Amino acid sequence: MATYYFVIVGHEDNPLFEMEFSTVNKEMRKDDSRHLSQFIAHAALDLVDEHKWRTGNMQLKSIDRFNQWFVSAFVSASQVRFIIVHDNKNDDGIKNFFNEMYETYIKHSMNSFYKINTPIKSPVFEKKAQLFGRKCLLSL
Amino acid sequence: MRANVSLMLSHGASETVMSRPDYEQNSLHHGCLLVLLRGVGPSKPRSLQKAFDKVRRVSNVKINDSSGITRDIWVRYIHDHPVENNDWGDFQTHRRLLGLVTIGKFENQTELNELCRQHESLKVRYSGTLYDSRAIFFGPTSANTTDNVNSAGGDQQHVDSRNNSSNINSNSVGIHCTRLQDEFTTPSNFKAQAYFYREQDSCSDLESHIAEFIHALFWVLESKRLDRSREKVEKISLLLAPKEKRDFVGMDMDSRMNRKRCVGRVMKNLADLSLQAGLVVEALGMYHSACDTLRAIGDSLWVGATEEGLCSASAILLYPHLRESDTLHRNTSLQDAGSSPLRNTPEKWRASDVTVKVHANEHQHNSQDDGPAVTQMASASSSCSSVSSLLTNSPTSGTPSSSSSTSTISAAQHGLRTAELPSNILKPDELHGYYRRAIINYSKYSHAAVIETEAALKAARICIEQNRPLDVAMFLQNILYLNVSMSEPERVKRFEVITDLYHQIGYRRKAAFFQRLAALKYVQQGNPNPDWSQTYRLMLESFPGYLLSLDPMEVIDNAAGWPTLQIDLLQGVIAAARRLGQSALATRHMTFLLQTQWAHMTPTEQSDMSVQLQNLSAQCEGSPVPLVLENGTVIPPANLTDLPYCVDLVVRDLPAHLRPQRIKIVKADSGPFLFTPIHLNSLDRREKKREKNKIAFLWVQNNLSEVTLRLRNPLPFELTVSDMRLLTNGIVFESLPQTVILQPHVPTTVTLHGTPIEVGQLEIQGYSTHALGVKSNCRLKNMRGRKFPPNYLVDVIPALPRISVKTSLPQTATFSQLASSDIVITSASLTLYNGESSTCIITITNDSALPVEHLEISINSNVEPEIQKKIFSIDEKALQTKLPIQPNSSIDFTVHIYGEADFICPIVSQRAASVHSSSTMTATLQADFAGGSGGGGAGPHSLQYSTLSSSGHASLPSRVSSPNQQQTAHNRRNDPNNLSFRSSTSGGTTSLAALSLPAGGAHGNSGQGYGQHVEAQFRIKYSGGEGMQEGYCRQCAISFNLELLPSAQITSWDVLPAEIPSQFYLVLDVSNLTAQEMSLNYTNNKSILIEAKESCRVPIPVDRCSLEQVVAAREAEYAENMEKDLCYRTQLLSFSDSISKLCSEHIAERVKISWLLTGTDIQGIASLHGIVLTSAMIDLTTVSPLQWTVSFQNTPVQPQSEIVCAAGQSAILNVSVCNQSAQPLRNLVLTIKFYQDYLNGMENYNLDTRVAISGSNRVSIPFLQKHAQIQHECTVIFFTPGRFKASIQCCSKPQVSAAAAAAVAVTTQSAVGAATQTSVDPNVPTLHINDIVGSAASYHEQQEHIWKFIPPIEVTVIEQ
Amino acid sequence: MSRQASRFDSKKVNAEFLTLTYGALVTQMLRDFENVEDVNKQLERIGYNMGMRLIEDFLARTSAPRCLEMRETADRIQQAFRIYLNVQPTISNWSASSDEFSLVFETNPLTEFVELPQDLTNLRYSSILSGCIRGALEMVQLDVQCWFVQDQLKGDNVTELRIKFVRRLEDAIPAGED
Repeated sequence: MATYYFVIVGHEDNPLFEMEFSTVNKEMRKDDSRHLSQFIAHAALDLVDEHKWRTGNMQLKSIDRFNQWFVSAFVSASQVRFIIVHDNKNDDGIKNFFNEMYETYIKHSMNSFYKINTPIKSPVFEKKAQLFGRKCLLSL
Repeated sequence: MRANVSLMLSHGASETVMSRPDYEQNSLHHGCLLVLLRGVGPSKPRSLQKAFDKVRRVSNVKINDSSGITRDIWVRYIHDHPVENNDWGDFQTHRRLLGLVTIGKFENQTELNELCRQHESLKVRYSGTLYDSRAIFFGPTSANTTDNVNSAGGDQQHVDSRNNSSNINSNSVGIHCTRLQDEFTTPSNFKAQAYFYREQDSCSDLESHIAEFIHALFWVLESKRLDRSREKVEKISLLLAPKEKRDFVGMDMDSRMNRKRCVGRVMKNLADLSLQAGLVVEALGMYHSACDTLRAIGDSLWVGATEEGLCSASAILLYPHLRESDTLHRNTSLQDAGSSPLRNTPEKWRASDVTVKVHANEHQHNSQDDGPAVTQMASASSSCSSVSSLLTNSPTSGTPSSSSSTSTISAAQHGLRTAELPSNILKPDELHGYYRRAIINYSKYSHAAVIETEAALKAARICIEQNRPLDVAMFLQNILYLNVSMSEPERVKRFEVITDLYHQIGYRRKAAFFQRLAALKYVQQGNPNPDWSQTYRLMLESFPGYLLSLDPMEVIDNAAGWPTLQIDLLQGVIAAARRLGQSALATRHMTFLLQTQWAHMTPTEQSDMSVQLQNLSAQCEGSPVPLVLENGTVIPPANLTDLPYCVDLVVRDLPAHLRPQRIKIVKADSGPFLFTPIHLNSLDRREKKREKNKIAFLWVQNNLSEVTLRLRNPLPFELTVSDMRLLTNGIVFESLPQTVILQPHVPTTVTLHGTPIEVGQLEIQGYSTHALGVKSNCRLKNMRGRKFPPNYLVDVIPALPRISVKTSLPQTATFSQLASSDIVITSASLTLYNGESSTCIITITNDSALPVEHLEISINSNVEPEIQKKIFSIDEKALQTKLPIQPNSSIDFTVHIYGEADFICPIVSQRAASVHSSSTMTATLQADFAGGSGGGGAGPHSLQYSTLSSSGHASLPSRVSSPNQQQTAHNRRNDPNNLSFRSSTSGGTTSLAALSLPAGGAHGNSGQGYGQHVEAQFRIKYSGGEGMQEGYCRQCAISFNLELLPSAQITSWDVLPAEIPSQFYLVLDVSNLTAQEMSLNYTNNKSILIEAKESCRVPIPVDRCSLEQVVAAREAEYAENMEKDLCYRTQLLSFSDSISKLCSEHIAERVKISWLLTGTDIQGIASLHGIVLTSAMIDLTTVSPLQWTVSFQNTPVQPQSEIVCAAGQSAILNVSVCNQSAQPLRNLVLTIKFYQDYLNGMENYNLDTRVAISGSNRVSIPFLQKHAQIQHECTVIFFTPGRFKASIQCCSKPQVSAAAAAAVAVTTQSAVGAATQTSVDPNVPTLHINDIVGSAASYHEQQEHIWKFIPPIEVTVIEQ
Repeated sequence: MSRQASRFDSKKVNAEFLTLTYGALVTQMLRDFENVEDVNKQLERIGYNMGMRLIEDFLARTSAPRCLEMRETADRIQQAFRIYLNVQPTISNWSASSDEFSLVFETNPLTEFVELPQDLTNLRYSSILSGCIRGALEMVQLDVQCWFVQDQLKGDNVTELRIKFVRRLEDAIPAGED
């Protein structure tokens, strides 16, 4: 029983891409969890920004938590912030997921039709995210 | 002592665990004496606030202790203190409430008693810890004293504000106390010391009293400290924290370990006391030792306490300025709330903090400079200022005033002050470590949750001071996970405190998060008394955290933040506002939401929100004015800029006929050169491009102008937008409201009207709407995603008059194809027969309030100007005299219209030329045959040919046939043979036959040719008033349709000799192309009736064209030709051409045929303009150059004279010819022929059996000088009686060959052709040569002519 | 990359760079003339002009004899793709009259990373290639039509470029369109 909320946050604290992964099926999960996760992720940005200047590492481990939720983050070279709000520890999985998504993100930003720092509306990207989510996070 | 413990224990049993964390506490409070400052009594008027401030201001007192050392004693005033907190007094002494000060107001004795009672009850409540208490009473004022009191108070204030270390002056005190105490007396059971004041008393001595009170407290504390320090090690008892007892039941109190514990704890306790007593350094030492002792025995709770103590002690020395920091930080957080969301990153925050602190210093300086300033200041700043001034004024205080400047240099301070600081002090970067450990230690003891919480807060505050945001975050984080059993309000408070601290480190997003939690907690279900106002406040304050600002435009421009969260937050705010019943705010926020978040909402959300907005605005309509909250927050207006969505906005020019234009069109002069590289116009155009908001055209004052919008309703339901107006700036503009109903998604065009009232530049900024119950100002500059300029600038010129036009004629149905038909405001149509004339009355009415002072009319049409002149004529002068047209009056003027047309069947004339050439070819053919062999065999062929050809032309107008006839005629005369003669007649008949035909033919093609349709525009330029001074005018037009119907038509003509030589007959075939009978008046007395569609032939006697004119014309043209010849050898006009022109004009001006449609009054005049004459005709038209003198039987022959002679007798016929022309005539041949005229068109020249002429009847005259005369005489004998005629004629033969003659013939024809139409003839080259030759030769030689003696002599021969 | 001319290796250009450059070009063009059809035309024209130059270079370095029939031409085109884009399209789908064939690309270096947004489905992203072929062949007096039958960008699993012989141009070299 694990839920992950993944979000890519742009330079103006604007979400570029959101996705949830959960072992629990949709109807069982209460719908406001995503909502709360968004708030938590947003609140965590302060710490992300604090941390990203203190480490050269893109992976920021678990940097924040609220109640049962942990916040892990990853900061890309161009200061795009990948954040996962999760309710169980899975550092390696998250680490790999971040790396995979970073790759995917780079590829996608090479698409000259994509305007940097705008929401990502690419089915391909979504499919990839789904894939990696299942592979790394839910390890299905 | 044991009793002491037992008491403690028993107490401990009863006591409940401390459940209310003191969130305001910071490390420095460990060193403070805790005093409860409480207002009592029923009424707590604002007037007491002053007293409260005064008391609070006394937070630091310097006391010289017994050993003469100055103690720096600090007091912390609190408003509320839960009793159970005292239970932790042994654990941390600063938690004990030591003092009590109540402030109350009374009007009468009973109230006073009440105040006393409350004071007492408080004393009892805190009896456990209280050292001493004071009561401050404000009594009623007795009028007579107040003023001097006030005055006294006034200067008192100066004094004490100048040096705040409250020196006491007691005179005023004396006065009051006595008096008040006289009036009222405190109840007997009231033991506390009380101070009495009048209400408006400045109570200047209050500070001193409080200071003295603190002295008292100190001494008690000091004694306690000394007691504690003097206790014998073996005697000391175990100090316990609440709930700790049970850990020790059945423990050996006297074990070594326990002794240690006792010692350690006492030591710690003593350290606490010393800290409060101002002996910081000593305290440090003791904490250290206590810490060591306790840690050795693993007394974790107390170790934590000592560690915290260490931190506090160190903090007191390191960051003394923290004492005022909390107030300051509150300021900063307030600032942040108001400020733009993007500016408070940690660095920024520090900046802001610095500024605030500096600010505080300024206050301090003020306070030293001028007293009154202080009292006026906000309590927070004033208190801090007073404190800082205390610091500065006290020489002994170890803190330089600079320390209160900024936190960021605290490290440096530490560096530079290490000298003074004790060695055992904790280094700044050790502090948070100690705190962390302390907290961990606390956490081991479940009941210490509150202590732990407070410790964490203190730690956080220190870390803020040390600029360690991550540690702050860590400590705050920790707080959340302490499960303190606390009430909901307490939890909320906790969130708020955390929020505040996050704000201080610039973690706006975290702050916002907790702010939201707090906000939600205030109103969550199960909350007995939800506080929506708090929720509203908190949510509003959390805007910056979500990168929202109150100003919608700022939000839109930043386009930052997390839409989902922003929307959620806004909805929260709206809900709160609605619950508060602040429907205005709710509407405002809803509007804001729609305006800023539209793009981020799904269509369904959009419509839902819109509906919600409608419901909200139903309670309170939204309008674009800023709203102000109680706390002074201004909520700027929000506008539904894109609801409806404006696709485009176009400023409309005035309708064409009202458009102002320059009266005189000034040419853009391009300098002296025709083609200049500098294009002024293009430059202008570029100008226009640069400022696309500048409107090219002009509006006119007081003239309704319009702007069209294309609006789209993005909502799925019908949207009603009412009261739409233009938003303008600059000159006064009166815009008319407009209401539209927009269907979903279909772009609708809306036109907004308005009238500029003034002259100058008008700035169109956008439009205002009233949609979904919200008034909005939709400014172009706020409309994103479209290429709108921020505004449009229109120049408005002074008012111009305005006219309406009527005509006396019916309007047309058809539209005019003429240019600029847009200025046409009315139309008129008229149908005329060619040559008919009529009039049209045009009425101009001035509808405006200005006089029309300038009026000019121009006509332009689809016909050539000169024809147009003939058709339309206006009397300009008469018109001008009618000006000016006063307002609402009108003038009228007349246009004369004449049905100008070409009566000489215009179209077919063009075909004529080509036919000519062909026909002439036949003619020349004949000539050849004739010249070659007079053989009759060829004759018929040629005849056949010519007849064929002529009959070929028969269908053509006889203009063609008539010259043709001439040709044949003269052929015949060249070689008289019957065939040709008969052919001539046949030619004649064909030409006659032709007469009736062309009428039909002409009528046939009248569809295209006649019935011509003239379109004209009467353009009226008019102006007046100031507009005219500015040089502007307006132009409108009447479109005029004139239908010209064919009337009389001349289908063919010929010229015949008249009875008298001075005249000739112009024979016309006139056909009536109308549908009615026409009476034709062709000379002044003769007239004839023509049936509809019929034609008839009329002879018109015309005076011949005098020789002088001919000569003149010829000379003129000769010169011209020479010139042409010299300059460019283009094709030259033949002489005869000019003559024929001359003649045709001659005829045209003499012959006027007026016609009248019988039974109607329709009449007109047909002119013969453009009639074309052949050379033969010309000879008859012009006076002949030869003058004849003929005598028969030596009696000169008179015209019409009857000559009689007898048969068989010879008679002498004498002919003399005199050349009257300008130049000599060459090779003339004079011939005399007798013939009989059968008067049936047959003439018999074959008279050999009846007449004999002795002497030649054919004389050739090689050369005839001008004015020379030659005689010829012959005798004639008639054999048989009868009527004989003699044709005497003189013909000049050119000496050119027959071919040339033909060519010449061609020349004339083609020349004629050239005159009527410009068709290039195939044999132009030959023409050239001939003409050039001809130009040298004289007119008479150039082509052959025949001059007859007219009328022919008529001889009647009788029998003898 | 086929190593006909060694001077290639010296200045090879990174594929991503090419892709990005081309992508930037296309998007910029889309921004400039709003209409997608115009962009298609322009791309085709650019290709055409490139082809007219490239052919010279191509023939020079692969000193190839003149083609006698379409199949040879097809091979040349294939070779050209190898040289210039380092991709090897397969030649297939010959028409019966063998005047029409397809070049099938498994990968298209131009469309690496590229995804067409919903509103640009009628954009012929790679039409520079068809233009290139047309231009090149026109310079050797071959008038051909060249269009995309399948496109990976449109979700097909290969990109198929169809080339149809129209006629031989007897007259002189056509003037360039630039």
